[in-house]
Amino acid sequence: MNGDPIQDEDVIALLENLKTTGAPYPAPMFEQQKQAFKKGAALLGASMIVWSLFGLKGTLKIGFIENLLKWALIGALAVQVAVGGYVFRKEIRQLFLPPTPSVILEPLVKPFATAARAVPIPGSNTPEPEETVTPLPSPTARASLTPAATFNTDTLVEPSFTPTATRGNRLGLTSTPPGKRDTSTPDPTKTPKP
Amino acid sequence: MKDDSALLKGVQQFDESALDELFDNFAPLVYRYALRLTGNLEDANDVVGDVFSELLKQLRLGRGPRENLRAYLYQIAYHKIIDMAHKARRYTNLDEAVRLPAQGSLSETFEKDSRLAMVVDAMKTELTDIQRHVLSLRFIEGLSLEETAKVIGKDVNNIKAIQNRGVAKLRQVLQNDTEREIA
Repeated sequence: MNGDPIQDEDVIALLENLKTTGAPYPAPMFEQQKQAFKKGAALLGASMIVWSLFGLKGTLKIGFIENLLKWALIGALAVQVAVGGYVFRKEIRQLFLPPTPSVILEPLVKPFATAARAVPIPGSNTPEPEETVTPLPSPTARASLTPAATFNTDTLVEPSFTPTATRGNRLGLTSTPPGKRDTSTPDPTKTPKP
Repeated sequence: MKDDSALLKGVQQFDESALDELFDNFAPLVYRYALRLTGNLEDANDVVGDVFSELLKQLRLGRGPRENLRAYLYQIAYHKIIDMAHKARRYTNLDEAVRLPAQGSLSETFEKDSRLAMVVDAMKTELTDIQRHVLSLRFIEGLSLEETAKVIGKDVNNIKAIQNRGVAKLRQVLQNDTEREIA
């Protein structure tokens, strides 16, 4: 210092002296940070590759998942339709074919099928179909068809129903259990209504 | 060493050698810048970690640096240091940072040069935060006016004015000291 006024350049020169001062980056800290940076970059690089495969850049979009699900459902539906179509292909083909006359007439003709017979047309060469006659069974054969067991009709008691009381227009009925004959006499004062 | 644009291209493509080169070249610079302004080894190391992790984040989002890698990294570091200072209110211990034993002869020089010590002290006590950052970036880190403007986020004329005011203040401190010595 010789008393000369200080210039801005002097200040700047002093500041520039500070460029090389200060501690260097300690090696362990430097290495630690470098490894962390490279690890982060590697992860990021890998994720970028995955995203580029999907044709997406940047962040995950919900629309993408929705789209994927939609197309998966559509695909599953299409497969179901295809399998069903293959399994029931005959039925489906019949649905779309035009109906033949025989298909229409068959249900109409069926009830009269036993009575229907071919009418010979005079002059035609077609031989008259032979009528098949089913012979009746012989008396002995008929006897063999009769059941061997005989029933005593006297022992059979049929249940009888007796009118007991009227409730309004309704006729009350009491039933006698089978095996017991109803011996009670009807009340002459009460005439059963029809 | 690749030029800046080739390095930038390699970094954007996650090329391993480019990433290595990027870290080797710029991590020590960022570290020293942070150390000068925070005065703490751990804080400076944290700033380096934050700066490079932020760079990866920006690259993933498809943003990141377009042209000037160095200015971009200093810009992130600047914001990290400001955030750190606001959070911890641990303002610069610049004198402690530059006194750290490392570059043998230079620290000795610093010890001998009382004016240098005074400048460092004045930077800490007399300058505003923005003046301290501008002078540090311009004359200690060696960034151009344009680069400093980009880092700070102001236009060049504004940076020039801040720089002039900072230098004038330091000059005044040194002048007062000289006059006191003469007297």
